[in-house]
Amino acid sequence: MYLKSLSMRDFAGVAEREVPLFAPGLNVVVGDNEAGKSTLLTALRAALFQKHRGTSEAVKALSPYGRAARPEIAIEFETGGTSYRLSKAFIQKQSALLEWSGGRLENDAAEEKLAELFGFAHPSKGESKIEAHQGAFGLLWVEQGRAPGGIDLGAGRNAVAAALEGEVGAIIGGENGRALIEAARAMQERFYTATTLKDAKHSPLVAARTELAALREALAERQEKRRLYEDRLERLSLRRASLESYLQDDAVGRAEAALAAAQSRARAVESVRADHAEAERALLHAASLVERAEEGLARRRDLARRNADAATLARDAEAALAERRTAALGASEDARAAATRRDEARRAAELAERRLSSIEVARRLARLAGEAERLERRLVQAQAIAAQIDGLARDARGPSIDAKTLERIEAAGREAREAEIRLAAASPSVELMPDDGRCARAADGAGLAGTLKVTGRQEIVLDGWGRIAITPGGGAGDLKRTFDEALAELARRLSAAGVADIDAARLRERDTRERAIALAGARKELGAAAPEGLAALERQRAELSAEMAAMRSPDGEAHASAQGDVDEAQADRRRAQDAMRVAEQALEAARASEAAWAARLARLEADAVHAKDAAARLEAELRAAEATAPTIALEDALAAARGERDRRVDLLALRRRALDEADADVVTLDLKRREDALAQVRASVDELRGEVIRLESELGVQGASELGAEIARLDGEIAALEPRVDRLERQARASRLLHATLTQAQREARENWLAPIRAEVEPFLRMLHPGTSVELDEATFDVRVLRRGGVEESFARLSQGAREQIAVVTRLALARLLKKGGYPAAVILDDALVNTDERRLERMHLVLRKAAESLQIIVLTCRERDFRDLGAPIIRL
Amino acid sequence: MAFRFLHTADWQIGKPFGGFEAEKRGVMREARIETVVRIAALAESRRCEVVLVAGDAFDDNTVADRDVRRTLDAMAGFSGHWIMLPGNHDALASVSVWSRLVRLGAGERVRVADRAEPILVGDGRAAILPAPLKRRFEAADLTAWFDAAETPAGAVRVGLAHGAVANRLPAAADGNNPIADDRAERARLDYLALGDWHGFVEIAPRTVYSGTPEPDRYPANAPGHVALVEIDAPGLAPRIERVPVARFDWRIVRAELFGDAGDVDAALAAVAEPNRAIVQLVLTGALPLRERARLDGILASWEARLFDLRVEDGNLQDEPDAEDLDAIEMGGFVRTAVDRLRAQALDPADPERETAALALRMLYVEHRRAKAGD
Repeated sequence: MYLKSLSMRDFAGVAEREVPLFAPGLNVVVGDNEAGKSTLLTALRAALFQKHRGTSEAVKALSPYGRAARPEIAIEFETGGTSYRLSKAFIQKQSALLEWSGGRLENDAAEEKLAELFGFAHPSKGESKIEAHQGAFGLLWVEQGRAPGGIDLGAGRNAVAAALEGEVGAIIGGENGRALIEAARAMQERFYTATTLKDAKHSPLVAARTELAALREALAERQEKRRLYEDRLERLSLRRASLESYLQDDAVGRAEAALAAAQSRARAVESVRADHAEAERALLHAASLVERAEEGLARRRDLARRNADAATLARDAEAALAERRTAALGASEDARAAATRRDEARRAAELAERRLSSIEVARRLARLAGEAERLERRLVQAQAIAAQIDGLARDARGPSIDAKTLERIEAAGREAREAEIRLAAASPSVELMPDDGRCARAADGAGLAGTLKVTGRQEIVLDGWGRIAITPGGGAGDLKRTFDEALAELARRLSAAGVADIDAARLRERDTRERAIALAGARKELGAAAPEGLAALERQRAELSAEMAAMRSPDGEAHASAQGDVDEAQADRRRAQDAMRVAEQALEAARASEAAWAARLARLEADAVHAKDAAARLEAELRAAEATAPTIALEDALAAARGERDRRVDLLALRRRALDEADADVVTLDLKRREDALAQVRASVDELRGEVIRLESELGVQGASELGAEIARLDGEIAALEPRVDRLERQARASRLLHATLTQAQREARENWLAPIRAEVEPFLRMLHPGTSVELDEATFDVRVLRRGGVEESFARLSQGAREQIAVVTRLALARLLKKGGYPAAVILDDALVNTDERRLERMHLVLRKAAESLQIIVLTCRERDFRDLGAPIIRL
Repeated sequence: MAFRFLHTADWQIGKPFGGFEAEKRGVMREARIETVVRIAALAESRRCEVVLVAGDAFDDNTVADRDVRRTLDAMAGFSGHWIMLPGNHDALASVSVWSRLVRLGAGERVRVADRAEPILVGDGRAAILPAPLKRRFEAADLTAWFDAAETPAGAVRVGLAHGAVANRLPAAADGNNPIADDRAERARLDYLALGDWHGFVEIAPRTVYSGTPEPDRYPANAPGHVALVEIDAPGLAPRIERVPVARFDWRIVRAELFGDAGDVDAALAAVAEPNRAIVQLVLTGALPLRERARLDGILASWEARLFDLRVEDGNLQDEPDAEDLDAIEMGGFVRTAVDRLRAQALDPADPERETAALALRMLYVEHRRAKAGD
């Protein structure tokens, strides 16, 4: 469409305005905010799309505010190569007039023509929203501030779709298509889950399948029951037949009869067996009789034989006894002779012995005499020593001082001496030098001469002078006392030792020592002379004397022959002893022989007696036996017993044959078999009868169970359900196929459809934002996503400026597309780029210019400066 | 005087009909007993001397006592004798429904043909030769003994057996419990009353399957009848009358649809008494999607009218046409999706072919629903 001019009167806030001659391409209309720039767009819409008879609030709003008026509007436009003039008046004297070179239409007809020309539908009665009834112009004519919100295709959709249809040969399919897809989805979701396309829980198909499975399971269960029932039936039939066969054949009766026959045969065999046993027993008896007879006869014969033997023996014993008695007499003689010879030899030996003994005694006496002499000498010596010792010992028992005592005495002497010396040293010396004839005496009258040591109070009687008492001082008293005590000690010790002074003590000590030495020497000597002691020597001497005394026989013969040759005497004695031994041996032998003979004789005598007794007893026995049963009778009895036994042997053989012929083993086996057979037959009959009763009862219980009907019913239900399942399956598959096919077709259509839009949008976008592309919503054409350098950005998140630019660009592209599709597209932008920066605005100028090559574009703006350089005609309001 | 009897078989009392809703099952089970009531009344009104039941009177040997009792009650309407042969469903096993039948008061007018020996009826004018099954499956031909069976001179010989006549039945029939196809001839039978095959058919001379009196499945082999038989004398051809007694009309209705779902109405209009009909509707052909959607409505209405309707539409193709596709939003991706699904549905090599066709139909239905909601 090419809008050529527009004029209005009493239209909204505009009393009258005429916009002369728009250019076919780009136009810029500049006006201040209240200059009626937007009213221009409103007027244009009202002219084309508002019914002149309209009474809605929107129509009323076309009047100038607060004034009843007749809003008028007139436009000139060109479309499809034809120029039109359209004028409309609203509210009062409403009118519509469309004129063109070939025609003229008024009012409704004019509006019909407009709807046809611009591809829109007037609203039905009661509808008032003009926005929804202006075809694609809602899309192409953008009021102030709408651009950043997006495309908002709205009622332009169909127009765009129609244009696209022309372009790509396919369209979305409209509301109807969407409803069909929804319906297909609903159908599909009866069967499948929305997302996974698996069987849905509530799917009627699943329910039917479950029901079918349950029916099949129930059927299988019934069929199994049926099978068991029929098995039982079959078994009952078989058991009955078996039982009947037993009963018909009278199996029990037959078995009983067979057993009776077998028992009878067994009894016969038993009798034969008893006969045989009896024959065996009789034979044994006969044999034992024979044996006894044989034994009796043998015993008799033995008795006779023993009787004869005993008589012989008795006679022999008598003879032997006589013979032995003679021999025994000889032996006694021999013994007596040997005894005599032995006695002689003994006497000779005794003689020799006596001679030898005398010689030896003599010799011993001689030796003992020597010994006694020596002993005597030793004894004398020892006795002398002993006497000496006694003397010494006696001396030793006199006063004696041992070395220790002497030592103590000497010590006491030394102490006394020392005390004396100390006393003397301390004592004043009084030298008495009397004048001649003068003497000094002690108080006791003893004469004093020379130097006198005064150790204590000393009175010196000086003749003629008187007495002088001297008392030493300076401790002399103590020394004197010590000296006195030492002297007293010495005196005590000497007294105790029994001596007068120290020298005496010394002498006595030496004496004592010497005596001890002498005593020890004597004792030693005695020890040497008589080590065993003096008493032992004396005892020896006494013993020796006694021995010698004993040896001296009262006669002196021995002593006489004591001088004989010992060796010879010994040889004689030896010979005599040998002879004696020989004689003794001979005697011993003779005596033994004699004893042996005696013993033998005794035995023989006993034997003879015994033999005789035995012979007598046996003879008596035999005689008695014979008297009872003579031997001949025994022999006859034996012969008879043997005959009987032989007969029994024959009889037994006969019975044995009979037994063999009776075939006893077979008869016994047969009997056992018949017994078992009868028991088995009875058991079988009982068992069969029991099982038949049991099965009949069991089957009787199940008899009216309608099992067959159940199976048939289930069969029928399954048969009825299967096609239903089949149908549902087909429906399920069909619903899925339908939905899939529809959605696939829709997807493809949209892809095809969007392709030309993209082709239109992208060159503009490249001019504005190099390297970017947009993704449009297939249904609404809204820009969903902007792609920049591989990064996707949601349209809603873009800056207002970018959003309005892209919205404008997309509209321009769609308008071009519509134009190509024959739609009378023209674009009006009312302050649509107010948020765009200068640089982008520059780019937008290029975009607008490019779009205007094939479109009329009217830019309404309050900012002339923004479009000064656009190079388009500017119309100022 | 001619010997007249009623021949029936395969009542299968106690059959559970598991494939049906519980409510319908009860009605269908009940119907089988009511059919016995009708048989008894028929035998009574037509003065039959005896009713021969050729096996499978009961669906199973374990049938409930209650069903046995009610069957006996249903049989009470006939004053003559019933001769009941154990079949494969109610074989004369050691313990079977037959022992219970006696125990539960069958009475002397109900005779279980439990032995292979002649049963004289009609004052000795007829000898029934039964071949009771003692187990579900017999490999041997149990009717063999008929050949040498001695019957009174002048007595009509009627065989009573349950099994498959060799070489005569369709391959679909199982071959268990074989019966020689010339048995009637070899055993000099005047009539061989058979059970097991559920359709009425004279399968060989004087050899007749009465079929089940109350159908229990769809095959169109004339089930739902009994045979009224009259034999004037031994050796004379029997007069056999096929009498319908069934309550339910089981049938397979086939409709080939080409573009118009309304053809189903025409096909189902042939069902005389919809409330007694158990119908398997086999649909073939191809429908545009809008017709397919219409078909659902038509079938829903029939479902309400018929006792039971099962639709087998595996071979009914969706064939979206230009009108269908115009009805769908033909712009944009929906168009693409529709084209793809269509191509897939039309490609015989595509394993997802059927799924794609269904998906397309679902799309169409959804689209219509959305539109209707607009």
